[in-house]
Amino acid sequence: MLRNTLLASLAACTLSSCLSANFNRSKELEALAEPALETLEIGESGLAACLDALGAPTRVWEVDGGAALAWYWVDRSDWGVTFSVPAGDAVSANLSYGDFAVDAEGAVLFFDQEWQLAALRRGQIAELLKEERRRPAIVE
Amino acid sequence: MATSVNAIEVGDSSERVTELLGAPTEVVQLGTRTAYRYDFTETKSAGLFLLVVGFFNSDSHQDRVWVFFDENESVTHVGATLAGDQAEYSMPWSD
Repeated sequence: MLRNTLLASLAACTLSSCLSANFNRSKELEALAEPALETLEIGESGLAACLDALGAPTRVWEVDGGAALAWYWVDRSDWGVTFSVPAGDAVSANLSYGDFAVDAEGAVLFFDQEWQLAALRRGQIAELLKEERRRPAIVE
Repeated sequence: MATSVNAIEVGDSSERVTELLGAPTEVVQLGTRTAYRYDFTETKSAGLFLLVVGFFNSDSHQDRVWVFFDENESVTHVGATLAGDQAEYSMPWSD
C-alpha cells in the first residue's frame, strides 16, 4: 500500500513537472600525453624537443627573462535536482540541490633565456597559472 | 592550416608568418623575443531530454599553433597541435 502510494506520488510529481534533474559535462582541450612528458629532462631538453613531444602549448608567458609554457585541459561536470510545488495561484516553492566537480590539470615548463628546460611543474591549473598575469619586463 | 604551418621554417620573418597564417590571435612579449599564437576552436554540444531529466555535453578541441621569434623577428621554433577535428557529439557519461 505504502509502495503504491509512493509510486503514485512520484508519478504525480513527474507528470506535473515538479521534479527535474540535469547532468552537464564540459570537456576542453586535449589531455597531455604523460609518456611524452616523461621523455623531457630538465637541463637537457630544449624548446624544440618539448614542442615536438607535447605539441603547441595552451599559454605562454615571460618569466624572469625566460618563458613559461603551459599545457592544460579541463573536464567539468555538474548535476542538479529541482523540486517545485505549487503553493497557491501565483506562488510556488522550490527546492534545489546540485554539485559539481572540476578536473583541470596540466603542466608548466619553464625555460631559461637559451630555451633550455629549467623546471617542470604539474598540478591543478589554478595553482600553475598563478604567475601568468604578471606584467612583462620593460625592455631597455 | 596544416599546410600553412608546415610551410613555416626556422629563419622565416614575421612578415612571412603573417602572410601564411594571417593576424595572430595573441602576441606575447618574452623579453626581447616574441611569440605569436594562432588558434581555431571547434565545440560540439549535445543534449538529451527525457521528460524531467536532461543530459548535456560540450566537447571542445583546438587547432593551435605557437610561433616563436628571436629579437630580430626571425622564427626560431614552431609548435603545432591540430586537434580541432577531435571534437565529438557525445553524452556526458562517455569518455
